[in-house]
Amino acid sequence: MTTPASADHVPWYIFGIPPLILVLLPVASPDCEIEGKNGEEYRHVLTVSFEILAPIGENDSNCLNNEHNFFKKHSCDDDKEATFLKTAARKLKHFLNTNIHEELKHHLSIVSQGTLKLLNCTRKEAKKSLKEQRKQDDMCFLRMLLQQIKTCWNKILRGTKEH
Amino acid sequence: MLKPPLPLGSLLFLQLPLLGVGLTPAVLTPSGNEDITADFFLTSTPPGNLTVSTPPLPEVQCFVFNIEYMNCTWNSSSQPQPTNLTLFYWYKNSDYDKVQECGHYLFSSDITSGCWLQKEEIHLYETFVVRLQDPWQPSRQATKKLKLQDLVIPRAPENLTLRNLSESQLELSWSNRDLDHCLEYLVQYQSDRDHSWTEQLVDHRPSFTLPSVDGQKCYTFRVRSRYNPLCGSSQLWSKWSRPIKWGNHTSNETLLLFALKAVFIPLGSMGLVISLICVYCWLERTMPRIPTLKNLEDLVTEYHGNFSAWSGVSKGLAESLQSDYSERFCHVSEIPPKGGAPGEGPEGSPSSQRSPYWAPPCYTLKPET
Repeated sequence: MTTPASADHVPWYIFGIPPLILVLLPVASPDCEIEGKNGEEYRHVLTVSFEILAPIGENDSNCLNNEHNFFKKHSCDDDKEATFLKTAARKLKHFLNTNIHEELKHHLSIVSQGTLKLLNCTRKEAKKSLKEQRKQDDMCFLRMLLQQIKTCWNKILRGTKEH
Repeated sequence: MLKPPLPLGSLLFLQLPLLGVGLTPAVLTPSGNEDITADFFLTSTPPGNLTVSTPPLPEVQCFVFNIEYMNCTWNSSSQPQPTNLTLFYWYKNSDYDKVQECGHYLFSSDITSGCWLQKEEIHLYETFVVRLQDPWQPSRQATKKLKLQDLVIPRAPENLTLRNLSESQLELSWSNRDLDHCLEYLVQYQSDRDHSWTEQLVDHRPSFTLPSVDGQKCYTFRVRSRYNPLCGSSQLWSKWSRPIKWGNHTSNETLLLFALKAVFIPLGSMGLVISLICVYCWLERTMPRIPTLKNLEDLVTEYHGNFSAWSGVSKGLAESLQSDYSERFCHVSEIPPKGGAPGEGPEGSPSSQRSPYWAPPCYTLKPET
């Protein structure tokens, strides 16, 4: 008489699956819920700061030709807009500790904090090291970063997917 | 059958890649996902070569029309020699980063002057890179990066509608296909008494309220749109919409009638009178004076039968009207038919018979005194 393949003999790794799911879930699921898609905050707050920050890096004629690795790694792709904005807004915060005009710092803060607030992200990330922060003293990179943040907001507010 | 010796065959094989190396002009720098063909055009002339000055390429301008199609154009007539320039484009750091040549060139005088891109080739929020190139001189090229969301020109607003919100309040509304919340609007209006337009910038809501209107005036409204600021930062306005009117349209007619009455009619009348006077004066000069006819009794009582004095005709005119010859009365008679001719003449011979109606000349010239 044979014993049936029974519940007694359950593979051990089954018990590891639920915890694994719980660990991986924050990585897989988006942690930002974009608010302000009606555009009111963007129109009345962020647009103003973007216009004031527009002259940054304007005198550098070769600015747009420079390639920055940041934009090769991060872009405002479809379904990844929130992720990009979160990363870019955090990158923007690093310039608040640089030697730029106070008024420009104020508007950089508005764009950075305003974007993060509208993204309504739940997960906080660790602060970047000072070493990396020094690398950000690049007005050309700042100009491109601001343009990409603005472009990504335009894409979100338009509301249609790129074909 | 003879076979080529193996060392010779391998040597032939080895030579093929060497031939390929010889053809490429310089070391190609890796540039991400760009095609090798594009890399070829990216390199400048090899070092050590003399640089020859080349005329600059015209500037390329791109506009996205209502996100339906895009035109990238350049001034082909600015070239010293007519050249069919070629256009390449790609999107930077994107899934659409493959370099492509224009598939639909625009021509001006049989020379390429632009490129038409269809909707599927437009990715508004990717960095658009366009390169204009001289196919006969590959080093002669110009590259430009563009943000297409700032180059959108929308369609003009349509279906302008007016309605009264109250006795003096007017609401203008309109529609814009496709882009709605991405647009802002500029409304212009003027009355028939104004000399210039009054304008008002309106956000994405397609309506405008005029709080106070004068019912005696006629107003004209028109609207245009711009892809700004939510979905892009274009500074390019659309065309104006068709205008719409509201109000007392007769005020226009009254003005016209008044102008007719006050200006044209008096001027016309004066002109008519003046022309009649001119005609009369001209007639006076050219036509002889007709003697005035006075009372016939005066001819007898006052002028004693002196007709010329009575009629006012001058003596000279009266004499000129007198005949300068005397005329005797002629008796003209008809020769009777055969069998009795009462009117036979002194000749009486058949040979002297004349035409029954012939009469001798009866006048003599009066000698001049």
